[in-house]
Amino acid sequence: MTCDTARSQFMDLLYNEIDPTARQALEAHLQTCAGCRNELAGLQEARALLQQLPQAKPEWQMVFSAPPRRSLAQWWRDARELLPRPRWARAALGLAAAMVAFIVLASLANLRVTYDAGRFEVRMHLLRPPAPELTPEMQQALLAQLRSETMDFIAQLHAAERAEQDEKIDRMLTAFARDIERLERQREADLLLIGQELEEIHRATNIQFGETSQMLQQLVRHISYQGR
Amino acid sequence: MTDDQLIEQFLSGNLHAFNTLVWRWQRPIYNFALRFLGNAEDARDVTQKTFIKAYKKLGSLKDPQKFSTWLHQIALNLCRDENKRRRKHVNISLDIDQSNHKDRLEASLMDDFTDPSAEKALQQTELQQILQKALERIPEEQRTVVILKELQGMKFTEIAELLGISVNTAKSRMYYGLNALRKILNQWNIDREAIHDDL
Ligand SMILES: [Zn+2]
Repeated sequence: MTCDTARSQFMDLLYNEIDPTARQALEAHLQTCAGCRNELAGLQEARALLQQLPQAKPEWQMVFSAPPRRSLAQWWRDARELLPRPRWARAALGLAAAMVAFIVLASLANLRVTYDAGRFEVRMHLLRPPAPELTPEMQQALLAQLRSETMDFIAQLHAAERAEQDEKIDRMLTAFARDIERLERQREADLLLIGQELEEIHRATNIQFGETSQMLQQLVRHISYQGR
Repeated sequence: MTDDQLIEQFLSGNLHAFNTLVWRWQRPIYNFALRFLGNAEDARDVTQKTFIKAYKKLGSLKDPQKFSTWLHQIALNLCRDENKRRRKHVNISLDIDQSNHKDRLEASLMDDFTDPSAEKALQQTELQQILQKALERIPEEQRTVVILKELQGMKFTEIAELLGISVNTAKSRMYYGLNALRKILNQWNIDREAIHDDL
C-alpha cells in the first residue's frame, strides 16, 4: 500500500466507516510507515480537541401558533390602502369616516377629545340619565360644550394640516385608529344603555339630532376642500 | 413518532405536529449555526429563519424521510448568506489594514496561549473559545463538513447528499479540514494536553 492510498482511508478509519479487510491492510501499512502514523496521530488529536466543543442548549423555544384573526386595526390599515390618493385626500377621507363614528358617538355621550404632542386622547363618559327637569339653558350649554370640543379638535387637525406634516398626520391617524378600536369595544358594551338613554335624552332635552348631522356635513365638506 | 409521521400530520393541518418537529430539531440546527457562525445571536436568527422557511416549504419536501438533511440544507444556506453579508460589512472597515488586523489577532492569541509560565491546561471555556476561533479560520467548505461530521454526527454518505457532492469529496474535505485545524492549533500551542484530565 502506498502512503497516498493509506491517507485516502484515514477518514474511514477515524470514523469507523471502514470495512474489516481495508482496515487490516491500512493497519499493516501504519505498522511500517512512521510518516503515516504521525499524520494519523495528528488528525486524532484534532478530533479529540474538537470533541471538547459542547452541545449548546438554546435558552429559548420556538413555538408556531395559528395566525391571529384580523384585528380592527389591521382592517383599518387595509381599508386605508383602498382610500384615494394623494395622501392628504386619503387622510381626509379616513378622518371624515372616523368623524362620522365620532359625531354619532358624541351626540350620544359626553365625548372628550384632546390632542397633545402628536396623539389623541379620547375619553368617553356616558351621560347620567338626564334629569327630567333639564332646562333649555342646560340643553344649550351641553350642546355648546359638545360643539366647542369638537371644533377644538378640528382646529387642532387644521393646525397639523397647515404644518404639512404628512408623516405626523399618518401617525396621528394610526393613533386615532387605535382609539377608534378601543371605542368600538367600549361601544359594544354600551350600545344597549345608549339605546335606552337616547330615548330619554330625546324626550327630556328635545335636542335635534339633525343639527349634529348638519354639522357633520359641513365638516366633511371642509376637510375635503382643505385636502385638495 | 417519526419525523415523516409528524410531517404528514402537519400537512393535514395539525400545527402541534410541526411544533414537535421544532422541539426535536431546534437544538441540532442551533448548534450547527452556532459552530458555523461563532455567534449565539446570529445562530438564533438563522435557527428561527430555518424553521420559518421549513414551515412554509414543508409541502414541497419530496422525501419526508430526509427531513433532517433538508432542514440542514436550509440552515446551511442561511449561514452562508449571513457570512456573505458579514464579509461585505467587514471588507469595508478592514480594507485598509486587513493583514495588519489578522496579525494583531494572531499576536493576541499567541500572547494569551503561549506564555510558557502559563498553565498548560487551559480553562475549559477558554479552550472552547480557541477551538471555535480555529474552526472559523478554516475554509467554509471544510468547516461545513467538519461540523456536520464531528458535531452533528452525520455519516459521510449523508453529508455528501446534503451538500450535493460525492462521498469521496466529503471525506477529503474532512481530511483537509482536520489537517488545517491541527496546524492552526499547533501554531497556538494547543494540543491534547490542553484538555483537562478531570473532564
Ligand atoms: Zn505511509
